[in-house]
Amino acid sequence: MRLDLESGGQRPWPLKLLLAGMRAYAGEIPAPPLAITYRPRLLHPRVPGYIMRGMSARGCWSKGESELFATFVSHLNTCHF
Amino acid sequence: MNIDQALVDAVLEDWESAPVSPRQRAALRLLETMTVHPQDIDAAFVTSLKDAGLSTEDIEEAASTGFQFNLINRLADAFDFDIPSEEGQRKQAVMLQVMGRLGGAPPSPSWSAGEDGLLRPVELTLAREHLLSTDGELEPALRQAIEAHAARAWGGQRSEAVGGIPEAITEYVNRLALYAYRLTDELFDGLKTSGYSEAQIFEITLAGALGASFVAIERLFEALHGETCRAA
Repeated sequence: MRLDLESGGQRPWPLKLLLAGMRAYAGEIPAPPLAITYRPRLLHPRVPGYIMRGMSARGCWSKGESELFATFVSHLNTCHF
Repeated sequence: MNIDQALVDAVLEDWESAPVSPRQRAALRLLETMTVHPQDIDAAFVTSLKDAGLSTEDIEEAASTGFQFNLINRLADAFDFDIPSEEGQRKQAVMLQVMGRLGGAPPSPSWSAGEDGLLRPVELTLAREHLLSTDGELEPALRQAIEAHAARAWGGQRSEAVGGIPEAITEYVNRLALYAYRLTDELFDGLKTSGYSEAQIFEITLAGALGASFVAIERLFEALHGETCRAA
């Protein structure tokens, strides 16, 4: 990555703990939460929940449909992530 | 509903002829329009989505995914996100699902008007106004200018009173907004050479990625809720 999003951030300890838990579970931390929490004071406290909601299935669309939509948007953006 | 890889491939090949339901095809049309030509979003477009069987909630939820991946894709291209291993992807998907549920239920009403009078999802109105006013490594006025520059690149409405951006970051912000996959190490390193710290580059990137990603959702929420908002 071009920025050291993991150790270069200014996160309070609860966020550091959460990210450490992710690393312990998955061996690596997903980049989106790393980016969103890099400078947490820039983001209103309700924003991370909104961002994360968009990555999960909720009421209207199934998990598979949500994943299809995300893959489709990434494809349109020529983004491999 | 499970979506198999063959269907994903068919959608990516040609979503208009892929064997999806009319409702799914309408959602794909919404996402393509948001991502590629947001200027086409208007009341008639929303009516066509509803005629295809989408409810307001269906549209808002699909648009939420569209907004978030348009944002995340720009951040991924700017920062050159590492692609996780297959096992890592599986575990990360589980974590993101859990975190998504921790995000709680959407507010009601789902929309609010910002100080600029534009409608957005409640959280995005809060996000924009917080980002553009809070203390950071860049002056808030520069963050406002970057956000406005990126939004205007997609036809977004922004106040004429917002200033321009420095020449040293213009090409970076233009690519971030319009074709982030063309961002390069050289362009990124050029920002550092121009004297921007990593924290400042992060702020430039976040403001630009948000500004560019906001435009489609602003047009969509105006088409969905503009009349209701003005009648209230």
